Amino acid sequence: MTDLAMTCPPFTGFGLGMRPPHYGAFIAGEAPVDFVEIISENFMVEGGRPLWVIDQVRERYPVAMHGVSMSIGSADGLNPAYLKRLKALADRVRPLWVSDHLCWTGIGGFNTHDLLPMPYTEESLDLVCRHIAEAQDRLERPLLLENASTYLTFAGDSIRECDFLAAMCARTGCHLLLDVNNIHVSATNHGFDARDYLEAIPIDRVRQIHLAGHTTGRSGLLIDTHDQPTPDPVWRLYEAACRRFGPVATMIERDDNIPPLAELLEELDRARVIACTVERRAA
Amino acid sequence: MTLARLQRDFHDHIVRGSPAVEAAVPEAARRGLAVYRHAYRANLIACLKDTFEKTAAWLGDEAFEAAALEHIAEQPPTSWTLSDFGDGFDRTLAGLYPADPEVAELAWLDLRLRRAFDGPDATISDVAALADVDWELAVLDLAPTLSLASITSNVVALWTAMDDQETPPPVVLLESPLGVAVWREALSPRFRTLRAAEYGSLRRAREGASFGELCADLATGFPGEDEAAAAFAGGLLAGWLSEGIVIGVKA
Repeated sequence: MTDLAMTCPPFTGFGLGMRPPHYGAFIAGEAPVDFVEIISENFMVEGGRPLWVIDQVRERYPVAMHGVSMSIGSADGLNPAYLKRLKALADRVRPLWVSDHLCWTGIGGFNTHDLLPMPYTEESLDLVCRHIAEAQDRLERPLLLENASTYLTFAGDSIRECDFLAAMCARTGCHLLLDVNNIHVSATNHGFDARDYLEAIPIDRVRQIHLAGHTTGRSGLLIDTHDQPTPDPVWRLYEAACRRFGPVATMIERDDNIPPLAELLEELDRARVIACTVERRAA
Repeated sequence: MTLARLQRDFHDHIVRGSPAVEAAVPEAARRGLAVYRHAYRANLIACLKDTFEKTAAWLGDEAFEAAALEHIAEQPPTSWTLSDFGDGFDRTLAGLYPADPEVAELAWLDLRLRRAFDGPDATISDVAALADVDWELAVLDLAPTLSLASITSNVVALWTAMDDQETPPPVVLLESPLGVAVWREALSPRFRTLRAAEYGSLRRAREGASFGELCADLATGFPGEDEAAAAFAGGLLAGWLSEGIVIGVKA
């Protein structure tokens, strides 16, 4: 692979996750956003309307591809058939970048279709880095990895999640999709300082930021439900992220209880104002 | 503990409640295990409700979720795509509702419509190119999304009423089975019932029989009326071509 193929030029702007209720606005190019993010698996199909939709949308907006099924941390290894399908979609869409989560989804040939937590150990780091290298080779593109929300820690954890991400970037050249809501959720659930977390993340590796809402579960844990507007603590953490990382492509990620597009655009405007205010103060 | 061992124990805990993974999780953090156990089932149930929308409406939430949990237990997902998890749910329902064939038939229809929605695109032959075809030997090229099944209930009327947000009619068991075809025409999934002769012909076509062989089969229904048999077969073919069930002839 050439070095050129592995570069991931920064792209800044404000976007939305594209969800079915709003497909029409994106197909028509009517949504005032700088980019859209698609769930890769929803378009890794053989034909029909999904591929027609993405062909229309990519003519009107830069597209980021975000996956949920790579299972980069599974001891089973990566699924070559999955990566082949993902590459075919990426070759068709020519996205800004391809991302997935730092997690595992299954083992022993089974797939839970959930983003399961990694133990943060040297063994995990070695395995994840091998898999990132393999994925980047097969996709012929750099990969962005997102920090997932987690609801437990492991007794054997020996590395902080933020240091794990930093080491992963240093070893593989991958980039990060920093989910600010997920940092807040995990920080609250596990009692670490979210701002310390940001300070450990390498500035030049962050290519995208997710903003979203969460709920409090019966156990008292915060759950990354993506069914609420971004709450104030996440906005405050986003402001801190803007101060540290400067302009980064930022989007609202809503997966459930999806409101009218206008409401999401208002939420996105709040992100624009925060990012612009931080940028002006820094100038 | 190796990563592979930990992940196997974690998976077994989520799927079967096996306790081994608890040793790897600090006591104060163990409440998080319940979140993953719940999310696993909730995500899969939501996936099935999305694919089997009419079936879920027909059964109601409680019965549908019980059936979904049975399917999750019997057939835990293995594919990278959540979409595949619905495969076989109609068979799960057939086992749970042996006296109510409309339940599994609704599920079959929901599933095949979803498969048709994002199944392979058809490359439709130019009608002019069909003018020179030797139809006696021609093997029909069927829409790649075409599914065929035999039904024993008025499932099509039930599905259609629910889609129109009308009260479904009472279940009727048919005196003799009908066929049903599901396919996609351009970007739109379609379905309709088929009488026995048409259903049989499409099944034979899918097995690779030539159009001439289909005509010979159909002629048995028109003893001594060759012209009527030919007209009937021609009418079927014209309909299939106009609806996109047949997209051309195989080379």
